Amino acid sequence: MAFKVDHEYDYLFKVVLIGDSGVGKSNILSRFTRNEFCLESKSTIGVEFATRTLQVEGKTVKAQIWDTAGQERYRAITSAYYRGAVGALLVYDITKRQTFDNVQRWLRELRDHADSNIVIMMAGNKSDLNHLRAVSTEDAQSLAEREGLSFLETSALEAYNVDKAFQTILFDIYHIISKKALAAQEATSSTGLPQGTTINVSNMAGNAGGNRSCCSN
Amino acid sequence: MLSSKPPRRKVVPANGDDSADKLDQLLLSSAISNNEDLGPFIRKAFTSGKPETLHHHLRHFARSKESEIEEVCKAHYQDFILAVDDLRSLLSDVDSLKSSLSDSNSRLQHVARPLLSSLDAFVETRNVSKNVNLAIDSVRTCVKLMEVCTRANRHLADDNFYMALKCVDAIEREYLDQTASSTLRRMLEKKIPEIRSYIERKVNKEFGDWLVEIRVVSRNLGQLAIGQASAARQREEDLRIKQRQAEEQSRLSVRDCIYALEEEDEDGIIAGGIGEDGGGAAGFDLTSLCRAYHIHQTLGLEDRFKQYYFENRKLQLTSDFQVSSMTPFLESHQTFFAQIAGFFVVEDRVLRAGGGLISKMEVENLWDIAVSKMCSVLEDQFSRMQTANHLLLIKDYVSLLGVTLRRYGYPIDALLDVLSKHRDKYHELLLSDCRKLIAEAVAADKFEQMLMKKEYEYSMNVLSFQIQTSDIIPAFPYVAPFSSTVPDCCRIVRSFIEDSVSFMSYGGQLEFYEVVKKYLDRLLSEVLDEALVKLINTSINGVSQAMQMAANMAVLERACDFFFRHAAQLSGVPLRMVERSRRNFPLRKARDAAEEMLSGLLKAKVDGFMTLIENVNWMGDEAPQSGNEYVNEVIIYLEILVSTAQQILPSQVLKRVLQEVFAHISEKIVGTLVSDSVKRFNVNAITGIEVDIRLLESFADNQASLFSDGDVDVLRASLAGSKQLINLLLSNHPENFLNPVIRERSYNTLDHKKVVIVSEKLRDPSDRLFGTFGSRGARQNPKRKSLDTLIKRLRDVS
Repeated sequence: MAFKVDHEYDYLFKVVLIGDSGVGKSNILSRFTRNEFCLESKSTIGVEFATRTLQVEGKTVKAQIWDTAGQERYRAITSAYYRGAVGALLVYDITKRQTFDNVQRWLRELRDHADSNIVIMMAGNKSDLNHLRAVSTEDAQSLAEREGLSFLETSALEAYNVDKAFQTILFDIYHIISKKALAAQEATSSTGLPQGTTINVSNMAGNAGGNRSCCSN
Repeated sequence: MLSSKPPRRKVVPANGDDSADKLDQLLLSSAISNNEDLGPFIRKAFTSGKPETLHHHLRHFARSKESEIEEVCKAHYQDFILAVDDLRSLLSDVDSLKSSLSDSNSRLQHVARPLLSSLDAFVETRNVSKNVNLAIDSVRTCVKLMEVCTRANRHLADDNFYMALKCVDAIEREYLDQTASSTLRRMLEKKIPEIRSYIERKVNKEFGDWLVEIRVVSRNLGQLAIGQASAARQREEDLRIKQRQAEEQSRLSVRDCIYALEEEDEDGIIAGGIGEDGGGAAGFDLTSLCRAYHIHQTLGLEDRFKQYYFENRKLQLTSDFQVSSMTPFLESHQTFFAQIAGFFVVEDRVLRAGGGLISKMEVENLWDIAVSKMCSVLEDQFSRMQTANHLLLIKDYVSLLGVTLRRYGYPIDALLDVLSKHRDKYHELLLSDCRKLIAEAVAADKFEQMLMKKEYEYSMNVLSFQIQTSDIIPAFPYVAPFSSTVPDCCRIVRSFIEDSVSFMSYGGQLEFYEVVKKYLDRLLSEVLDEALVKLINTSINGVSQAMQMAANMAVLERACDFFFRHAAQLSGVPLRMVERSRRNFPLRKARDAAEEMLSGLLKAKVDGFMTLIENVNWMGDEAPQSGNEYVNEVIIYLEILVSTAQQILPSQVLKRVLQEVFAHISEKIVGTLVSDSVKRFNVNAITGIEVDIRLLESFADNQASLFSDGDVDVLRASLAGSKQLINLLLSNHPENFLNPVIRERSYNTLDHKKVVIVSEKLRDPSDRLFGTFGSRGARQNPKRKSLDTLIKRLRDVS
């Protein structure tokens, strides 16, 4: 007889959205998870998160996207916000040069608080406002190459490149997890049976438990 | 009963019968002829009690009418009988006619049946024909409609949106109601708005692309426009240099007109350059914009598009205002200003050629926003700059921006105000930089005359600052009268002048020479003068170094004249106007300090020789004929000094220094006579001092050839103090000192107290020779008596 699976997904990946206030993080989130865009620009208060499940190389991955405010006064939650995150989408607004200039500061904060293996993608949002562009694609590409980031320009309004951005992050995360899982598997080859790998990147010491791989028969 | 009734009845009929009956009959006739209601008349007859009369009249009338009727019936009886006969015959005729008609009808039916069939066929055919005609008309209409639709589609495919809209309008206006097909009509009603929306979206996309493109074009355009303004300024500067050279050489005023004409021509060419010609990098394309505007006008959306255009251009301008905090403003400012300049070059073109898309007030509105923002950015950036060169770079570019945009009619006073406001800061930074540079140059001085081996060194260090003493180029190697401080400081000051003029030039203020002069004065009097004073007071070792500094100051005095002439030239002020205005030497304190230092050192040196005055025999038997030892030493030293000094010091400076030294020698002589080191002296000693003074005066006379004015008396005057004292002591009438007139004329430098002290020390030779015979009471010397009187009186005065 077939067993009912314990979970709906194979992996749960936590991804954080960071960037200055007003660059469109919340709309990126709602576009990706609910395919919605809100023209009213309300500032996020505290933390919001939403999830969406998608397939990455045959595996069911549940993306848990955390969105936070860009203002300084919400920085108290910084450590908790970054804990356990395996991916980050660093958003700036192509029509506001200052938001791009602040990318360096966000990177510094990310590297101070998040795991060093975190996958980072830089997203230049509001690409539909090309006629108000203040940051050239070349400048952003150069910075991304210098800092070792992935880079895409997105438009939450037109849903341009939003899915692609998250899929790219999740794909990279999955590959890093797979490599670590493979290494862990080789280390535990004496057990004979393959074991599921935990999502927490900082605790890769073989803490079995939590989510298991889906088994049928 | 009967008796009473008859009289009343009798009276009434008698009067009423005649008039009442006539009247009643008349009324009744009228009523009858008018077909009126006779009721009231009947009721009146009965109420009046006369029905019998009425009945009588009616019966009479009836009988007369019956008679008439009988007459009529008799007369017409025959006619009636005849009429009946006629009717009988007519009846039979009608029956015949009826049969005849029935037969005709049958025959007609028989004959008409084929015709009826034909008629039915004809009617049916006619209906078919009518329907076919309708169909043909409908099809023809559809064909035309399809043709217009095809044209519309072709125009859409070719992106000829205006023609497409015209076709769509024609379809809507001329064919929509005529189209019989409801399917076709529904399709049209659905597609027409869709086509309009499609065109609007397409045109808006083109407009969006134009907006993206125009920003890049604007930056290049701004850079090009500002570059042209810069080139024009460079040409203007070159012309000014040539003009200055020509003016200096020939002082001809005709050349000015020639240059001015050339400049005007070039300005005309430049003014028409930007954006006017269709081709080349300077041109930019408004086709997409004008097309979008035109299409929106055709769509009836003109106001909305104008609003959309203005809002988006305003947003683009606001985006252009972003100054990156990562890139230093010094690197990004050219792009920043060029982008804004290009934006307004484009808006000026849109205003003039856009057919009312943007209004002049809206452009001015945008310009006010831009000027306000640029001023704010400049204020912020200037407030954070700590290097004069940076302010100068920004100022140059802003002034070029101003020139560029003023040519398009934009007011730039606010920008120039910001530049003027930071003029003081710029000059403070310049002064600060120059203070450091001058301190370094001054600290590096070795107090040695500069050696120049080649002509270019002479040109670089002497001619360029016009500090040469002769117009003849000297032989090389040439030893300059000044040390390295002089040309080094001159270069610093010249750079300051040029930087100051650079900042003030093209800043909106035409007459800025007074400002440059003010700051130059500050540089010279506050910075350079202070540095030199400090150097003189702290670093001088020995007379030779002091002499070099004094020589330097003399050269710098000439250089200062050059500085102000140079500032005037660069400021565009004619030299004759500058030369006309007299000016104080800005480095006076340093010059005075140098001369004081030199004088002080020389005095100290002379003091060393003056100590030999101790060897004078104050009670000698005879006066020394060739002067005392100390004065000969002093004169030897001064001779050596002058022979050295005249090589580098100007005669005026040397004269002033010698005056100081001579005055000092005089004071030392008097001081010695007053001091306790000399207890007494006799006439022979005083005579010796007189010889000493004459030797000094002789030395002074020998220096007359050094002074251009030949004024040697000033040196003699410096010895007045000691000379007057000696004269008083040698005088036969010393009490004349008490006479104010004589004292003012001959002894004006003498002090009362000193005269008393010195006079008391004078001893007669007889005191010693005839000491043993004092008791004899010999007669006193008249001079002695006079001297005693003087002493007594002066004591009383004190």
